[in-house]
Amino acid sequence: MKKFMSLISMLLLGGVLFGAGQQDAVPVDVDPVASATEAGTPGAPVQLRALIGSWNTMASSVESRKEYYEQAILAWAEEHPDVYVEIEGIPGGQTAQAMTKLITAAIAGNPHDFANIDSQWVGNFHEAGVLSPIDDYLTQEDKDQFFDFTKIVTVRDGKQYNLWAETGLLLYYYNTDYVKVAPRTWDDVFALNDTLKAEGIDKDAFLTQGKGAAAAFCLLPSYWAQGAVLFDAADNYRPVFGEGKNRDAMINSFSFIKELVDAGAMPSEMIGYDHNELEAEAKADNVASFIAGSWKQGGLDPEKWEYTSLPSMDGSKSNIYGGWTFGFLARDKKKLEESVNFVNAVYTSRDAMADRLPRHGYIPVRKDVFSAEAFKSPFYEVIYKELEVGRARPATSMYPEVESLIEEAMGKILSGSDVAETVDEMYSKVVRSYNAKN
Amino acid sequence: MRKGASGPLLILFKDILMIEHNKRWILQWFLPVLIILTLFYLFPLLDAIRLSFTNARIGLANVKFSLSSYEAVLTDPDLPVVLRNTVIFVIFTVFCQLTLGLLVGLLLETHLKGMGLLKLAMITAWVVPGVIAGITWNLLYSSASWGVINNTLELFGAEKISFMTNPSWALVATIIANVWRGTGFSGIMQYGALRGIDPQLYEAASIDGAGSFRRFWGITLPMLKPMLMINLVLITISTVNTYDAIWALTKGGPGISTTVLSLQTYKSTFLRLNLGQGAVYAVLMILSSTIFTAIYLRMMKEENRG
Repeated sequence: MKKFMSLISMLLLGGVLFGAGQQDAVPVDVDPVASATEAGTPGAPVQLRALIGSWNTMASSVESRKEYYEQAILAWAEEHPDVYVEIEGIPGGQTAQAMTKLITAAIAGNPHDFANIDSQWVGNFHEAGVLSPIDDYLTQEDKDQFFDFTKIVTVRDGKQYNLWAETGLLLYYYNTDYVKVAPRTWDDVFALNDTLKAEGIDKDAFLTQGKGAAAAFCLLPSYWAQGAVLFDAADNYRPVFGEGKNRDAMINSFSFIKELVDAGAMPSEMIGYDHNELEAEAKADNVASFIAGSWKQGGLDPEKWEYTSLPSMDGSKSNIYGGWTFGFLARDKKKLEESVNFVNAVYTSRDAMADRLPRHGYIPVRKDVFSAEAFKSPFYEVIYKELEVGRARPATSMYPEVESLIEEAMGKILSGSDVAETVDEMYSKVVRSYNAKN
Repeated sequence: MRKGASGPLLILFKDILMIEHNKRWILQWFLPVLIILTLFYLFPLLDAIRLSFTNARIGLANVKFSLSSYEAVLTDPDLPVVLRNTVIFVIFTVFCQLTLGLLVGLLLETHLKGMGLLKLAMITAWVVPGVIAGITWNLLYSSASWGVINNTLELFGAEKISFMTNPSWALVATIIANVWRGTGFSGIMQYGALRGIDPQLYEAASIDGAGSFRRFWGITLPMLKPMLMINLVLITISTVNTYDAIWALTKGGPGISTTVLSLQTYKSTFLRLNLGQGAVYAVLMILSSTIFTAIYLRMMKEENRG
């Protein structure tokens, strides 16, 4: 019996040692793979789990994008034969669900090692304390290449937690048949409306968006251009948009929309419009000028449509930046390092952005990418300047509430509610939520 | 024949005696369903009630118990509007779905040519996901260049209707879309019940000289009442819970003019990430569904007594 037990113990010990030895070994004669769900060498000792937007993987339906991801992943795998990444895709249009699931798993201690995180969700992850700093794996030179607006979101307390992968911003598009000089101020916009009416041109002078998240996206640049802020970042992101000059700026921004509708420059139907509806209205030749995403430029007739920065109250420039980042949730140093290496190689290095972003129509967030051949054009000259004047959405978990309330407020105001009362009501709701949270 | 028929009855009777004899069997038979109900219905319900007494937000690690979510929701100036929208939406949707469902059921009973196609159309509308229904109606209502209804109106020289941007029209538009979606289910249910009515009753009534209206009032409606009540409860519950079609159609706007309780629950939870307040709205939804169901059950009981 004793002999039998010794034999069993030896076999078990042998098995454990064999297994441990196997774990560190790089598999021999195993070809690296690149697919929508896998990257790297199967059976490699460093196993990573990633959550990536399916549109940013080989699951993309566009052939040129698929080609890029395959070639970039295989090139990375050649250099990192000891790493394997299991990829889970985020389905299109399911950002909130995917982010909720990810943050819940992270708080429970079972997150992916790295993940695509919508830039407006990064604040939630910071506040939950689930991100790992990545400064040890980045050079200062590399960090400096990212535009300043990214750092408000990716850096907290001096440490960098995310890599911003791509962005989009807003442009003012105008039909040169009807608009000879692009308006720079709100007064110019009203003057344009008067001119069109005087000339008997039956087109909407100016259209902006009021549907869903696009409502806040289009309103906030005009708010920020007045020097106002939504939150006080130095005071734990306390909401301040209902105080003093911030409140005035918010009232001004909503009043501008209301006055445009009252003046007949914009139909009240704008509350049902987002980027796609506006593009369709432009193509149907129903509108003289409108605000929409930079990604819409390629779809407009260049003979007719010009683009420039957004008009504002006094001509000051501002913009808003959306897009996705990569957040790193692994605690193990090796996994963290390899996660950063993978993201850099496929998504955020200068070469990766220069090759990848034109295939998607995204805007780069690194300055050095603009020296690449694909970005040498008058369009990207405008874009580069725009990337220096705007802001990212604030990195706080309270921002989504403000965004949702701006959309509601716009509908209420255009349905006859008082602007100042609506702004105050919106502010008191956010303050109440903020106080309950803290 | 009598012996054969009495066999299974005898077995059933013996089984009942066995259950009476040894009650632990009852628990064994019911255990699977009790586990499923507890895990998937009772636990989420209790968890929603627990969350409603917290300040929970998605991503907030340190959740505290407090009444702040109730305070925020119950003092929100939007709450009366949301409740009003919910009552209007539910009452009109239920009334229209029941009435149109009955008409469809009666039409199907006529066995005219093309009724098979009508059945297919009704079922298709019912099985279409809410989001698709919302998008489809959005394309119909839109004031933009592709809006089918408004373009048709303009073609005939009429003014466009702001279905999606006028608060009153938006609620009407939402109700119409939801009625379209649910009438198929209601119609099929009532068609099934109509087919169960003994034709001899109609024959006897005709011999006694009853006209079509008298036959409908005296035979069809009383025979349909049990199904109508069940239909009423099911339609009410599904209407109170509807949010997907409204979200795709109007996103609850303009402002909050088409925001109902279920949509407000979704907005609080997934847009504003406020689990505590979302849970309070969910509790309000449970209460409203319970109240509606209790009223109907009482009506059914009174009907049975009568």
